[in-house]
Amino acid sequence: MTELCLPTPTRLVPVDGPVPVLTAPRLHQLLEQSGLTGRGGGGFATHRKLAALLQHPEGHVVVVGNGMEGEPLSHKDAHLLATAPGLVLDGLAVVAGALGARRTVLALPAGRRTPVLDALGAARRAPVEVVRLPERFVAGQESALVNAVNGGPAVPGPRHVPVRERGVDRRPTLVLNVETLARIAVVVRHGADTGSVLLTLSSSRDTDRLRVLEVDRATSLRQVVGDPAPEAVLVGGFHGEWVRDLDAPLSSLRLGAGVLHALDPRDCPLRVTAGIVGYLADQSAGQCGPCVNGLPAMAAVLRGVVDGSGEVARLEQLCGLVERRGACAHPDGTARLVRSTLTTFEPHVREHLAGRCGR
Amino acid sequence: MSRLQVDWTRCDGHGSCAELLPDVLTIDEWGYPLPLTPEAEPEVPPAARTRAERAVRACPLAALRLTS
Repeated sequence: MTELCLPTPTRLVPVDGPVPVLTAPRLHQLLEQSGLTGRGGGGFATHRKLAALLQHPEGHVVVVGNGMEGEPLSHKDAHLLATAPGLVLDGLAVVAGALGARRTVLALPAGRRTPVLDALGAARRAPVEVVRLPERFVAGQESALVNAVNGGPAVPGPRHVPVRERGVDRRPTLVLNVETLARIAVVVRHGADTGSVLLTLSSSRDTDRLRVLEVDRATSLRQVVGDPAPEAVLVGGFHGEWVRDLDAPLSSLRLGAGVLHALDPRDCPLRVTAGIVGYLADQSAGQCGPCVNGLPAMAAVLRGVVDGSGEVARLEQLCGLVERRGACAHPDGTARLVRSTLTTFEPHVREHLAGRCGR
Repeated sequence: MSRLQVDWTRCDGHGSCAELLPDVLTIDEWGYPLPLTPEAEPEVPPAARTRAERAVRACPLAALRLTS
């Protein structure tokens, strides 16, 4: 395997030439050694996700590449699919080949045009089915995605039936984010990942402008967000946490899917968060009572806090009522954001309740 | 020990489970089952085992499971 002697690239860039064909145990070993974790938000060790499917014989499992990118502030998957789609297809080929997959699917948002990917996909021997699905925040959640691929609604399934046991076509299914797949392609060629992180940057002042960056893991938040330095950065997107310490290296943060949303000093963090929570409440799949009821209630109380009339204790109570009481992590992520806002901006909350905001 | 699991995609806040297992579950302000202990999947003590099995059968949405 001469490929493992070539220096590891420091960025995700297109690569010519075939991707190694590996057995499942060898792939598992390389992934374990590399320490690769998922880039879809969950951050699970990729070798462990693979291990859960090693027991199945050839022709049994389904492999799904997740390019849904339901987080509105995230664009890194779209960027990767446009600039280095071959890496994603390579990752799919390696994993599907190692597991002897019966189907290989790539899930993309319905509105997205991917001419380079389509061309590459058509040119390859190993068939990848591209499935285009409607965009909703939870549509990229693993079991919701699998339900949609199966022709059903893009809503999460119950927790006691994980997709690794019963997923697409009721087969054991491995769902991997497209960036994770690209990094798998790097690991199998070089024995290690690039050491970089793929990020999407935005500011509360201009939420439509998303910038995708790839930087070394040791880079600090300050170096990434640049000048003027924001008051805080929402790290991990709508289900993330606020970070004030801009000198923290990216490697020390829970990046999730790499979304960094800078709070402009002119913007009120409570107003910004209330807007996000309102959106998250609207994006509930509508299946689970605590989420369906709790998230709109949280949004309303948060708007009340902005106006000076909401109760922080009630907000904390609602967080406790929605956490771990649903089929997916949507309510938990929303509660995480709210709790983080209350902690990080505690003085500002007091200002609001005293009727003074000034932003 | 067995644990009680709610299938949240099915649960409709009907409440038979909490009625049959008042020592394990209460209901929240919206009618949904809430464990008395701070766990997502509460343990079912041996004394409550039979009632728990009955609660599983009694749920009209088949939203309750008992792990072994």
